[in-house]
Amino acid sequence: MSYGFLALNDNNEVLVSSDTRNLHFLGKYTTPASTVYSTNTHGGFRHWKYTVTSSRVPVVFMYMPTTEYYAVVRTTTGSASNTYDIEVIRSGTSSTTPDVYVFADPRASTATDNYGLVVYKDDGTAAFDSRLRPLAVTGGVVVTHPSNPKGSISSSLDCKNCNSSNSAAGSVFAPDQFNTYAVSGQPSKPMFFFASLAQAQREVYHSCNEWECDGISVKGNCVGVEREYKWESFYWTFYRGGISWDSGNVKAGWVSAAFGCRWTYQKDSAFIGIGTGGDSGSGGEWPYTNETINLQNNAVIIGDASRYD
Amino acid sequence: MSFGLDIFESGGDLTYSTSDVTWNQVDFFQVNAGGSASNSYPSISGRSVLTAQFWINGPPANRKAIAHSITVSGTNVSVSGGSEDAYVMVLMK
Repeated sequence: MSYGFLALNDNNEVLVSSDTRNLHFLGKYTTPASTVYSTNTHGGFRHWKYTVTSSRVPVVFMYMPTTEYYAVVRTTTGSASNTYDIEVIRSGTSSTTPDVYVFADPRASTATDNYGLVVYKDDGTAAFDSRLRPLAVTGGVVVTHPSNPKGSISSSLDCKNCNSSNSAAGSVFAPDQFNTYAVSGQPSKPMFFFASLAQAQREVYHSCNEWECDGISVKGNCVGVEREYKWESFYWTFYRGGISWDSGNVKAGWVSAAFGCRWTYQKDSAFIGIGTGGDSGSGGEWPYTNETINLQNNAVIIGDASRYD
Repeated sequence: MSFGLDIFESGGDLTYSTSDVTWNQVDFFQVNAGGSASNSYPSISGRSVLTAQFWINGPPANRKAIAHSITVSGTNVSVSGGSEDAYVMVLMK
């Protein structure tokens, strides 16, 4: 650079530059504004919305108080001006919520102190302001989620009309796969930036048939009135990628974010082999695909939450 | 310290110093579903670069939601191929 300000850290990395903007602390949120959805089946699922105040798109870090899987899944403008809705999901069944630490570039804040160091960009707006508690990171890792949320799916669910309970289906689909990344030297209260991209859906298909003959069955053929029934059920679960922090390891695993079942029913009637009509029905939501997508590298940035408490 | 930068708050506590590490925000922009972007940032030349994207509308469970592909080549950052609106953040250190 030929003009401006540049401070490098001890690793010769950029610490402050008038060409870029540091992220600065905006606030900490310990309670969600609302619970979007919650279920205890399929490994458990919690979906919360935090409403944060910011005039700039916020960058969210999570303090994850349990070893379950967490992820930020949505960042969108809120209903009130200068607010954003941040949606966070978590696996498991506990009621514990993550603390959300919000950062943004310095234009989102106004310092009340008049003591410190401010670095400006060439357009006159702040690039760095020491009064606004700039972000310091303690580590990071790039993670990829395993291609399968569950190692193997073995199902004996009911073929008829999706009759199996959510609890029974949840036992079939509860995710159990993860990749582990050791990250040493992290603080006792780490906070994590992780915007989830990976998605997967898995489905199991069950069908069954029944045949009734009111007359005499001769070599498999009905002499009289016969009815043939066919049932199909497609049980499915939709997963999203999450991360957990467990004894110095970041784990990239899966959260069951939605589930459902689609069923069809068909009855064909006949008299001595001649069709006399039938009946059919269907219901439930279709699974849309049975694959894993967005398995690209996902950045995880780690900081010390206690520095911003 | 014998060299470097220490920044203190008014109470005398150390706020920031050259022993800290951070990721600096080079840019933050929106790419819509099916859209693309290609931007050049001279400031990232020779630096470590990290990119991230945030879903703006939560990906639905009833259709495929494809994330954008983000590539960094030299000082150029290109984004394309996604089926959803997303914020893209470019960081460097």
